[in-house]
Amino acid sequence: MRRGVIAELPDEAALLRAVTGLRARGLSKLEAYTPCLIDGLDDALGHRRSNLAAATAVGAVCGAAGGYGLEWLLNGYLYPVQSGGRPPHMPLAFVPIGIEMGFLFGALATVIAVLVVGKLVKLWEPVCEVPGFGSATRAGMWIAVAADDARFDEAVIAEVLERSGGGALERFGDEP
Amino acid sequence: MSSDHDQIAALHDDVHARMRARRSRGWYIAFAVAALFAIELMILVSYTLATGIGLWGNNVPSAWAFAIINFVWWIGIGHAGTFISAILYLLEQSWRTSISRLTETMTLFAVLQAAIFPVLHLGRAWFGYWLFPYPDVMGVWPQVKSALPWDAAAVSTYFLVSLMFWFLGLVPDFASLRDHASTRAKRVVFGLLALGWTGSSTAWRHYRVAYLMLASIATPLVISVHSIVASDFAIGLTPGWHSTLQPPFFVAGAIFSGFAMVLMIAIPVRRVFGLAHVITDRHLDNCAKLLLVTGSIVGYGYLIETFIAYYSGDPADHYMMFVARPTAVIFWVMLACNVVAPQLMWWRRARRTEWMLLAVSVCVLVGMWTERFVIIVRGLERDQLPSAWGNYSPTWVDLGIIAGTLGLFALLMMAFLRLFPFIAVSELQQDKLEGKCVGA
Repeated sequence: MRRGVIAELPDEAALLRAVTGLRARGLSKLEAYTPCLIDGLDDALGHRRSNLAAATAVGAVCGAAGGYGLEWLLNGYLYPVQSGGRPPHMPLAFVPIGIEMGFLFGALATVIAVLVVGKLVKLWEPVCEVPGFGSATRAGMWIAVAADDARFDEAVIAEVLERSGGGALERFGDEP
Repeated sequence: MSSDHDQIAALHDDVHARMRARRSRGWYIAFAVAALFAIELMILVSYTLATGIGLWGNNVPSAWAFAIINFVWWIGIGHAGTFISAILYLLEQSWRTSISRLTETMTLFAVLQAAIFPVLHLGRAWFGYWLFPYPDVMGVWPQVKSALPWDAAAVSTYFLVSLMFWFLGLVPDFASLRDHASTRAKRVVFGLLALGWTGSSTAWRHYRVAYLMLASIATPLVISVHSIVASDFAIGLTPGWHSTLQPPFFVAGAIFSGFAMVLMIAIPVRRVFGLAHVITDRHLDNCAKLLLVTGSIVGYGYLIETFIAYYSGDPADHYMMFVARPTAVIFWVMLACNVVAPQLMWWRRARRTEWMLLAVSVCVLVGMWTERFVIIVRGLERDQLPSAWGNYSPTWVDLGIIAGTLGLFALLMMAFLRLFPFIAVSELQQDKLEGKCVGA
């Protein structure tokens, strides 16, 4: 979030009330900042369940197929060794490495996907400049509203947050 | 501020304060002893690399000995970490949270110790990369029908997936250390490690699923790794090895020894850091129960392999089970440590008494090491052909290397405890808010 307003709420119940209140006023570009996962927050924010599992599945299938294919290429085609009556292409012996590569690439795809879609590896954001924002990794519950939200109105946001028990509204990000 | 807020704030501050507290003189002495053993390991590894593995006691017929025993033992110890962090996570066992970070770290460091052995056992360790397929001018590729590339794939995958799982779990806690760092240097280091984590709902939404996916991958992985290690033996024709019993037997034994190491780490940690309210008696009790369950599976495995040796009518297996093993003292040490000692865990008071748990854990760790000795060395010493029989004894270099890995493991664990968040604070806070936390 590049620009907007943010406030701290006293607890997770107040945060959920604030999110519900802001969404009831038509505001949709909201971001909550919390020290841990809050049950029900995704539903309140209207987030759909993350489809990150698709990345895991694609990575795992490609890893397993690629691993098996590589084994066939190496031992079945490029360097076939006849040993102990075992055929060069021997599915039973190729399965262990194939499965392991499925696990490895499934995990790699998951981590890469969470870094990309979770917008991590971005070491600074304007919201980090808000005084006291460090409490979001201790016990603080914060809610931010983006300034480019079509229904953005500071007075309305302040009123909803005040009713939810929130603290003073702080602006963050450069003015356009 | 509400009581929930106060409680999770207090939990955060309490754990952070204990992590930062000055250590006692005893801590530094223990650290120095561990460092000495680690240095001793480096010297012996260098000596082995420079001279060759003729320094070790293994020779035909016991071409596999200490190196593979230690490899299997250390890999097995890592398994309880993944069991706690992944399997118990999927089963929604919230008590795991207090010890999950410690056990994940234990897994990583145990796998590192394990990896030392097969690489040295190659003889020319500097060609270890030949295990991996890389395009070279020789056109000679790894032979994947051999168990060695299976191990290389399984162990590297296990290490890398465990590393990713561990690091992903640490990110929110790194962010907390960044935001509450006492010096600029710490703020920069933890800031880089935290990957810019702010605790945004977007990040948490994907993080939750990523963590679940990694746990879902780690769960079959933990079963597969020791199954593959067990297959190294099962595909061989040596008496006592060639059995489909090996994979489940090895997995149960791995988790068994892993829980013993978890107790060996968790008990001193809760003492030294004053964390008895986070790592509670219930945690020790649950670990002890799991020790009993997995120990019973291992005991059942002994029973079945003895029955199969009798029922199959195979003379080599029969000789191994009814003559070669029972005449070796180490076999009886194995039974006493792995079958008799864990029976104490039926007693509730023993499960909640630290010194008794430590004593049983030491027994189990010794017992599981002797089990691998019995399987590997006794099988090779008394193969099918009596003319090929021979006895094995380790050298001082063998003994020094295993002692050194214990020192290096302790050193790495102590360094981690000093520098990194060894309690998953954000997960504990979540459990607290959801009313699930059994610890703090």
